[in-house]
Amino acid sequence: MNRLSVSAGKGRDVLLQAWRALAMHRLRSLLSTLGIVFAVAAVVTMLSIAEGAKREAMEQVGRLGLDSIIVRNAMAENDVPDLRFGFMPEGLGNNDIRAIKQIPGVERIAFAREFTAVLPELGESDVIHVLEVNHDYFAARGLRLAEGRFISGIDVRNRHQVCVLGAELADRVESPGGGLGSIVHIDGGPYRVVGVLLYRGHADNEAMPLVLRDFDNAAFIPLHETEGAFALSDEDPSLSEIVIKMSDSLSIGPASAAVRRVLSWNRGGVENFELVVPKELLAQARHTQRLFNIVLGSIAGISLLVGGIGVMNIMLANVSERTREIGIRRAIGAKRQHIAVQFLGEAILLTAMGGAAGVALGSGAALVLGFFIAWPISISAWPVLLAIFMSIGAGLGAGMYPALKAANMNPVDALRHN
Amino acid sequence: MIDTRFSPLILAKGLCKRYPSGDAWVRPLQDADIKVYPDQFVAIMGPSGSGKSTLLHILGFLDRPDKGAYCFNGQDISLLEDDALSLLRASRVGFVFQTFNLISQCTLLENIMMPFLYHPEPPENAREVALIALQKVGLAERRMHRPDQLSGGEMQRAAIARALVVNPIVILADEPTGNLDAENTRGILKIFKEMNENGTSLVVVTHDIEVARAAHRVLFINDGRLNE
Repeated sequence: MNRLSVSAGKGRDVLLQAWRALAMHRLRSLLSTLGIVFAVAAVVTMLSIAEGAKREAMEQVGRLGLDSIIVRNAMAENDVPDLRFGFMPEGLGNNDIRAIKQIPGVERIAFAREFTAVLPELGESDVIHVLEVNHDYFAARGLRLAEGRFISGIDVRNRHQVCVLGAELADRVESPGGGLGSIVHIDGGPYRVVGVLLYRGHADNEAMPLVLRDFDNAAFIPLHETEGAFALSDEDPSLSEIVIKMSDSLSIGPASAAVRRVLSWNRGGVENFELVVPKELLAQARHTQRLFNIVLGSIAGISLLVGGIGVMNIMLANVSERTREIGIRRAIGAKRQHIAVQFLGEAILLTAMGGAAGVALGSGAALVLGFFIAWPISISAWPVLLAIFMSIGAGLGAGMYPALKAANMNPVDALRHN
Repeated sequence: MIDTRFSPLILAKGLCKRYPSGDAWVRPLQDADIKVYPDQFVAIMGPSGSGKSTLLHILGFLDRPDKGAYCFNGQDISLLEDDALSLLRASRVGFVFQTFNLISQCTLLENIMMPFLYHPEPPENAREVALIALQKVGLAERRMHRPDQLSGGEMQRAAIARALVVNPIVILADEPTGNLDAENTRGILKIFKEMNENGTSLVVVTHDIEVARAAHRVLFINDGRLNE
């Protein structure tokens, strides 16, 4: 215990002396750390922005459900059908649903037909997106209610004139009584509002255009069935979206390939649909993130190298200026390792202070960017720890050569140095 | 087992040292012998460049002789590694230099405490011990001052306090009064005498006749050889 406290005391003294030595040339010390400060600040800012973007992307993908596959109507890349397969359907329809149901592992299928309509309650010029959906659609797309209820199976079967509004649309609708229970007119027909969705944040994120709809400004009405059969005829494939829920996420890979195959078959080989697989998107997002991290790491590494060279330069100047001090310390009993630790300590203290200043500057810059540009920012512990470790590592690297040079000086020559 | 009471503290025979200087070699020590017993105050005198400082550096293990044998307190120095020599310096030897050699960025108290950084067994109350050393040289009031705030005499007294704070068995001083006036020289000599009376051996390289008069023995160095 006694030895421990003595060692701690010596460590404190070494740090204090390192601080004193650096404080002797405040401006020079400050300037030498600027490289480290800006390198660390850049890393922390970029990582905070990247982490924020990653979290948002993950959250958005996660909302879609990792055990689901989304099929959407799209323009065909190759619109010349193979005539052996007959006609080419322009949308998704009953045939597709029946074929998808045959794929092993498919648990539920939700679907939607989208059209635009004028809502008189908003004014004649305002066109909104209306989604005719079956009752499974809300759960399949991870939509949540702020108040009221979703469209139910009974609504669908009994052709109830009910609707659910997105959060922003509900705010904009000015109907007598407003909100739940009020009547809105969609495509000329009166619909009673039975539910309002929780605000979700819509899809103006360029990174996720395929995945998200602007649910906050959409209205949902039942997609009717008659006599237990799907209301759409095989000759009228007008669905815009099919959401397939799998029994487990492990079967997503083979299932998505099978979905692509059957839909392509139904269209004579023309792919006028797009397949969105959240699990693949997640993997893609992670892969992109890894690449981004490698690029960031490289930038940080180069910046720290440049900063480290600046610190090494100053430390070499320090060793040269304090040669006599090295001789004095050796004369009063310092071993070579004491001298090395002394100068290495100074280099590490210098870069650690630069790193701490860089973390503060970088975090501040990230918050300012987040505030003014409304980017998602996430300042988590690991970029901060990484930056501090990196700056300490830079100090270790930059200080090693000057410290060894100081330690290996001949004490007599050092004492004679003027 | 050597009985150090009757054995020399410093016993060196046939010390040789040479340095390259341009195309030639400088030979400051040539077959030099020296013997210093415990409690002795020895002055070494000689002209400039005669090898006094080189001898002192070898006696303080800062340098090694090219030839010759050196035993310190019964230990053959040639057998010790660099770290062991540093340890010996930290615990058994105190250095005093002509140019004081205090660390400019540290306070007086920090300068005096510095040897404890390298001491194998520093006292727990290192600060108090350092303050006592400063009191002995009359500088306790100036403990928070930096070296550049002190006069030459005060700096040398502080350097002596730094040398004696680890309670060494010998102090090696290289022209300690060389930069001081007569009054400060007397003050330093008084401290040296007190230290010697308290059992610390002194080997002092000097040009100053007053210092030589205060010593028990005076050795003269010329052409690299020592004569009494």
